[in-house]
Amino acid sequence: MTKPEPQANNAAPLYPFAALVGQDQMKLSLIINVVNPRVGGVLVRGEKGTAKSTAVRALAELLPEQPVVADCPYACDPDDAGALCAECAERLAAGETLPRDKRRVRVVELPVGATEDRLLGTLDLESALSQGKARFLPGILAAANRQVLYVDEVNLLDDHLVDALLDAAAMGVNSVERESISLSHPARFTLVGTMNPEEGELRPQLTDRFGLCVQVVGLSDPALRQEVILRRLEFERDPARFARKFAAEGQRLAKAIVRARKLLPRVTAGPEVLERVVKLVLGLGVDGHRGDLTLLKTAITLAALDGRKQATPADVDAAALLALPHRLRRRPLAEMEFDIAERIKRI
Amino acid sequence: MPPASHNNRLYPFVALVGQESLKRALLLLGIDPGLGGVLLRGEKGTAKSTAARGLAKLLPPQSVVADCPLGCDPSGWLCPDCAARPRPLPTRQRPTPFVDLPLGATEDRLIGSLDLEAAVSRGQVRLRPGLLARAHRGVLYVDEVNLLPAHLVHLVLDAAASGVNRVEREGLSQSHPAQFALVASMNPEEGPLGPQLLDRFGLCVEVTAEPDPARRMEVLRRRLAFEADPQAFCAAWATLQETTAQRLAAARLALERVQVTPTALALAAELAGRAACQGQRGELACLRAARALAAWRGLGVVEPELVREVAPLALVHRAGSAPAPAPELHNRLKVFSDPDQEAPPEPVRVADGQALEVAPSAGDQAGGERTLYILSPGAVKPVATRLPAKEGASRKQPGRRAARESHDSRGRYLRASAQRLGRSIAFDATLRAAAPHQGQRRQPGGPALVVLRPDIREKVRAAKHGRLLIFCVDASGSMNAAARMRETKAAVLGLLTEAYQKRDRVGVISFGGLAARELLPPTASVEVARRMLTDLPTGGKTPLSAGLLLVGRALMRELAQDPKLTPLVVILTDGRPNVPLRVSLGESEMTELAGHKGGGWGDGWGDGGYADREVLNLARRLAGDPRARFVVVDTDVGHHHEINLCRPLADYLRAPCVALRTITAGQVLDLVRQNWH
Repeated sequence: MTKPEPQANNAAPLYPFAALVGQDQMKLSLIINVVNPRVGGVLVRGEKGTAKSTAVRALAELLPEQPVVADCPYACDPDDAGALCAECAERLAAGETLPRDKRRVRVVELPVGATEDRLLGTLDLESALSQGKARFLPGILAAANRQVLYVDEVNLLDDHLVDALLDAAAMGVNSVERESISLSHPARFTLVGTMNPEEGELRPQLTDRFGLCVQVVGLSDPALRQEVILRRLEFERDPARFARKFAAEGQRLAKAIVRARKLLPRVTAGPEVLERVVKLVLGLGVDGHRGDLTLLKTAITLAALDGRKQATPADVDAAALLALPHRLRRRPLAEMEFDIAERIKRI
Repeated sequence: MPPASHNNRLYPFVALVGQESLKRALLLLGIDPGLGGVLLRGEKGTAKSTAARGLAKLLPPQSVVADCPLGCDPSGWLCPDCAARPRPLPTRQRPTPFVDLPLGATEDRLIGSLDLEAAVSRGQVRLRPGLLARAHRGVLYVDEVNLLPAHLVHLVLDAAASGVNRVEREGLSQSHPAQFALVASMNPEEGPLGPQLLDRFGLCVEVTAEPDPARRMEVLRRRLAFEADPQAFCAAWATLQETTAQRLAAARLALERVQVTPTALALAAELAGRAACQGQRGELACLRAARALAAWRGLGVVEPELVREVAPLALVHRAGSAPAPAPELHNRLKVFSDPDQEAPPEPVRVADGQALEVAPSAGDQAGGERTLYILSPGAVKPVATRLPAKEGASRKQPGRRAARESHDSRGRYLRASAQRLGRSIAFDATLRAAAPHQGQRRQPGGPALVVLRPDIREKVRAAKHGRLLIFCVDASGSMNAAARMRETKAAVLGLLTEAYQKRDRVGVISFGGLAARELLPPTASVEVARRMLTDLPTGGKTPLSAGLLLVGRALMRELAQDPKLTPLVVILTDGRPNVPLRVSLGESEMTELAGHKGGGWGDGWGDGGYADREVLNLARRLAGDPRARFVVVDTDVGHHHEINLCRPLADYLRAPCVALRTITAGQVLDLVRQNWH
């Protein structure tokens, strides 16, 4: 686990992102997170068999390359001295030049059945027995630093794992104080979760940690439904050929993402945009301040995707559909409300 | 420890917009760490963590014994090692430590444990200091304290109160100073914190999001600027940060000299009495906070005004037993009398040992009386917000349930045990147990560590298998429907408040009119329950079968999520069903149910039978899962000779049937206590 395996090792062929039919909100929310990891991830809610997992896994091909410290188990960013792990920081302080490498951002999966020690990392038994040294064996949170952390069926995750996840997500640091180990390492990840609400709700605290939230429903248009099945069959028959068929489309998307990423730091938001953000969160009744910030970042990212250097109040309204549904104070008996377009318009 | 570079990325304390009481409470704690900790309660995303982390940066650098792992104060209390060293002790300066207690922490890292490497390589039995040692003279921060196992919270609070950490384990027997300012945060939505734990926090702040649009925009603007360029942002606030830090350092020095007037003292006691605080912690915290506030403002005397100012911080969380809504309490505290008609102020000192003593003063005949007043505030009256309960009935140490030990591999690893019960092996503890014996065991060329059978330690896990209670309430338009709903609601809120162990969840399903609905999906949160049960519709017919069907679905859903649950379902009804499923559900869903074979709760119900038969058939199905247990409460107030279905329903459910003619929340609670295991 000390060295994250490169992307190419994924055994099963991935369904191309560009070949996904419909589910535009979900796709948009994922793309927004690729363009701007600071949006804070996305929670995809929906019934079984609505391509939730497929979409998240397919995201891998759209993820950009990032510079990393070549031999760091946490894939530290050599250009960001402020966010280095303790070891890299020490090496840098000792005058060493950190070896650089480029690696594509990965989708790291947290299986629902994972144990706490696998998630947080644990005592390296081998080195304890052979050398009598208490050393740290990094876990999934270490592998997820600067990557996308994907939790399928996130609502079924054991409570103590959720707690650990929340802790790390809150600070971007995994503090391990257990089993003779005492250490912290950076763990900044884009949290992507999928869940089927019928199997139980997510704890509010965890819900709030997801930047965006979208609901996917089965397609209702018979023509689209047919198209889904046809593509799926075609993919299963010959994945490589299928991938080639959508390669051009995928590349277009990848290019748009690269463009937006470049533009993003230059996108500005004027006072009218901030005003709209605050008006919406107050008007809709949103808990806390995290929603405000996510809404603003999402609006800015939307502007970047649209090739504009200036975010507008309209961007905010569009962003609200993704950034606010899971943050609304729910009325008694009410389901999570995704159809808030009307309410937004009235504010 | 997080790399030092993380510190440069902290949002400056002084740049926080609004949140005045949050900032005040933390500053007071910074001035007087002996306050006993600050608890930050509030919804998510309200700068709780940011403020706590920011506080440490405001605290002055401190001088420590240079190579002491415990960070001893050269001019203060020394650990045994430092005490034994020749003088003068070498010293160095360090910033005030800020230590995070992560939720996944184990006991050995919290209080410290045997140093494995020293034991193996040198055969020495040495303490490897834990987080409590590292937090000595600094800030210990516990995020989401309500999610931390109660057992660890107790350890933290014990150390916070005594200033000492005692390590008695693995052949170690040692004490060392552990004096720290405790800051904890929690989101009440995730379940409450027990009253015993609550009471031990000196101050408590209710943190809410900023309601003012202009300020809210300012929050956004600053946050955005900070994220864009943390260094520049911090630089812009450096001057204010620096003056605040200096003022805080000055206040710390002035603290000892601040005097407390008897009027202030009496006022604190009276306010605590008003708020129905139990014990004396309330007024003590109140006075200490007022003293710190005086020091902050450069005043030499604690004026009653200051006491009144800090009273909400010190008393809100101790008020009565049920958390009173904050605004109401604030009013209660404000309404209270005019202090200035009291006797002329006599200087009284609040000593550091948390005891109150009246400064010796000639001719002060009322002195003794005043002390007495503090120690036994006559005004303390328990508030009657608690629901009636039998003395001692399942109330004793409800928090204990949190640490129910589990024998499988689920749950959080708490600590290790030498008892062999076939649990998973705690490698860390096993190795520590083996380490001291390596001198005799090691073979040349062999492994560094030889582990033998007696060394083996097993993991004790805190299994948070919560309990689940579902009320299924008849909301039909019978005579006592409204009372039934009202008392059930009171019982739900009572259970959630009392059984504050967060994994216990309560849900409500009601049936009335033509259909059933889940009024409250199972929740552990009093807040959620209160919110969702504001509206309790009653009236119409009695679709009992629809209610049972919904119970079945809820059970199936919950058991799928946690197969270890043993839910209890309490059914309150008149036992006069008169709406068949065909009507409750409509034809289409019935067809779907009928066509649905194999294991579902609803299958086989397309024949449109009569309501009674449906009810009993559903009951038989519900009883099919041995994990679920039922209680039927017959609330029929009608004529005795008329047959109602409660008894047969109970028989089919293999459940007790209890008749309650006038139903009260107390009776419902008692029933639940008797049957909820």
